[in-house]
Amino acid sequence: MARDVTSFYLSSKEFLAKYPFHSRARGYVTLADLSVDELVRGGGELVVAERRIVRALERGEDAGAVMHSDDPDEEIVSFPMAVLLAAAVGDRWLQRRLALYESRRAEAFLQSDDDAALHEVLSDLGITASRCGRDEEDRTGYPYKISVADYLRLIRGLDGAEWRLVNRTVWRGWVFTTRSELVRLVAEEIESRILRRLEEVKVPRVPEQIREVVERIRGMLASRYARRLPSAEVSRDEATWPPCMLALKSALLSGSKVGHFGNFAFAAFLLSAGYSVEDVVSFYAQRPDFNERIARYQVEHIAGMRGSRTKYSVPSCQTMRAHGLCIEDGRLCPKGIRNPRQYARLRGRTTG
Amino acid sequence: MTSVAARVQDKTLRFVRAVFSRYYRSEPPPPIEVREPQQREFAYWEFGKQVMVRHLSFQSVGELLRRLAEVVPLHAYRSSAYFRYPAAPMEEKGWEGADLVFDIDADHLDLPCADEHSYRVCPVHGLRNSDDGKCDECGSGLSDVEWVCDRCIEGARAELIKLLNVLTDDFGVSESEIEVGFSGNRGFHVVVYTERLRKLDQMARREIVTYLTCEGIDPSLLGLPWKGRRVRSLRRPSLDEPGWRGRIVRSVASQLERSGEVQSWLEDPDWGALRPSRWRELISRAISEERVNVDPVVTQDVHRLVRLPWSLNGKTGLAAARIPLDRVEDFDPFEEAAVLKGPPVRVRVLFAPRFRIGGGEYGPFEGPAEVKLPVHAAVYLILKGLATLASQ
Repeated sequence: MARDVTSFYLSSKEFLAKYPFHSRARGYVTLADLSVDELVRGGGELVVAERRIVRALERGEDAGAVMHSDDPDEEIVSFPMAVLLAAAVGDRWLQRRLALYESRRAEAFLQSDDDAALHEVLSDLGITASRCGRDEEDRTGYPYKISVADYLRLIRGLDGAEWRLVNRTVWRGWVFTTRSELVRLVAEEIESRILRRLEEVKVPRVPEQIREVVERIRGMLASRYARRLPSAEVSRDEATWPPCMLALKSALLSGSKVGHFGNFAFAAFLLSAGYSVEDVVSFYAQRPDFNERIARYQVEHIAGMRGSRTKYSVPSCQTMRAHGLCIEDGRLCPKGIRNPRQYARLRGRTTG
Repeated sequence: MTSVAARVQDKTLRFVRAVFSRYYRSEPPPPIEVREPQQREFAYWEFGKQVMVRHLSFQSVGELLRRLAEVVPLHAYRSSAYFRYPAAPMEEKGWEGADLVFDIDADHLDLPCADEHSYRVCPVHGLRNSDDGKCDECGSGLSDVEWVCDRCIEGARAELIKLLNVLTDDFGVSESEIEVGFSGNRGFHVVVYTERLRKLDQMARREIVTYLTCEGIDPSLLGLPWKGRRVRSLRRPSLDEPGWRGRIVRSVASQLERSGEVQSWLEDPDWGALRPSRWRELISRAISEERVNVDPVVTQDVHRLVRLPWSLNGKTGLAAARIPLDRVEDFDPFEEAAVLKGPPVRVRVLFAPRFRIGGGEYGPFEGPAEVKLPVHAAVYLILKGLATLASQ
């Protein structure tokens, strides 16, 4: 009986409304099969899709377990439509923000959903992970496990010390986790899935039926979410930046994932090189979770203008290495370098 | 270099090449094996040439063996990577994955014996010591000798054994997917063929390296008493726990057993038994003893060239012998990798400490002297830059 209830739930619209990226929702409304005409015919779905995007802009990673419509059909169809809208608007930041929002929304649902739902999502995403057996749980103290290969792929955007493999329990090819850690990793996969899907959708010409909505979103982006990008003035010194900082810069500007430590190191480096808070903040504007007020506060904190008034120094090469941020183990750097700050001076010396 | 010296060098090199060719052309041929050869890139260095021949592809090991017999390389390699088009230029090869490769080299281990056998030789006068790097008798430039002793090998072997334990226990790699080899000089190579690890990118491999070397380890995240005083709230230790926590707990237990500080800890391990600062010392010690010292650059590189198993190492003439897993503890490279054959040969030895190879012991040779040596011993000294063929 219980099994029937479970399988009924997993095949229901309610399930797909929570996880609209699931491959079965694609069968339900296949983006590739559905023409734009059909997709926008309903009208009601278009309204919900726009609501999805507006909410993604407003909330970002702070998504919460919310529905955008009372009607599961609308809820499900509005997801591929939101993807289509974001592709039509053509703004990379909006697309990253949508992927971030949708993945965190699914994460919020997964945190409270049961293990059958989690398992269904895991297997649909092709992640090898499951609940531990009794012996495994006794030995490790953790209730869930994920294969090492999947774990290493999914922690790419996570840089806290607690995610480093060396600080995990690793046994028999598995990394052991709590349930919420596993769900966090699943959200990382969902985010990159959606981003990939956004890259696949090509909208060469904005269709008539959605033009109005697309323009409205563009207007919002220009007015309420305008982000200042680093000026040319700022990049003039780049030739004197060490490889690790150049790598962080290009990751930040392309909107790739840079974890807390990387963000901190880059800001500390720029501040030590004499850049203004204003300039430093502009480098973070491509992050999908960018919030200018918070970013400014954090940069001012690193600069010693807030809180304890301590001006933070640039992390040493050894610390950068420990966080996996050193490039090619320093082979591109002058010999004897111990802090990224020394790069310009030491390099000047050796190249004479 | 005088023309006489150049002629001697040339003759010596031709002699070594002839010995190498006897090996590569032997019947049956050397037991070189390569998994999935069609997808690999091969490369080699030839005698007396300064460039590596790369981007070679062979349909079978037989074809590869024929080429080796024809070319007689000084060094021979295969890619760790699998390519769609192995012979294409790098950007067009079509990378499809790479074996996980580990390199353990005695040179990187800070072994105490390194200072005892750091030698510099003059090509005419043998062992010399001078501050300016020139021979005090003739002014010739001195060259450093990379000498390898039994303690170097034992040091590397200890790391190898630790590595194999972590690979099988923590990463769940089955023994049939692990290949262990002697490097042919002063270390060991380990290749892991596990399919699900092939696609790992550089960052993921970097993560595996730091797992092995314990770089960035924070024992408090493993529930060990590291900072703060609330040791009693930590998970109770047990000797059979997996991963780094388990290895650290076991090492701490054996340190306590040796010191006799807490008699009952093995039976009833409890973090309350000592003060926090003492735990910190014990844990630090445990990490430095248990960490696995692999070369980080080799493992991270997804385009690495790996020495062909059972090919000859051109720095020693020893074979890059494959080592069965049940022989790791007692494999003797100076015996089992000394594969070169031929009649004894007269060489002029500049200098050599006492050494053993292929069942015999030779030296020490304190100053330049002509001696007759078995071919593997002669080639070993020649390739280390310590001998040339005698003029007769």
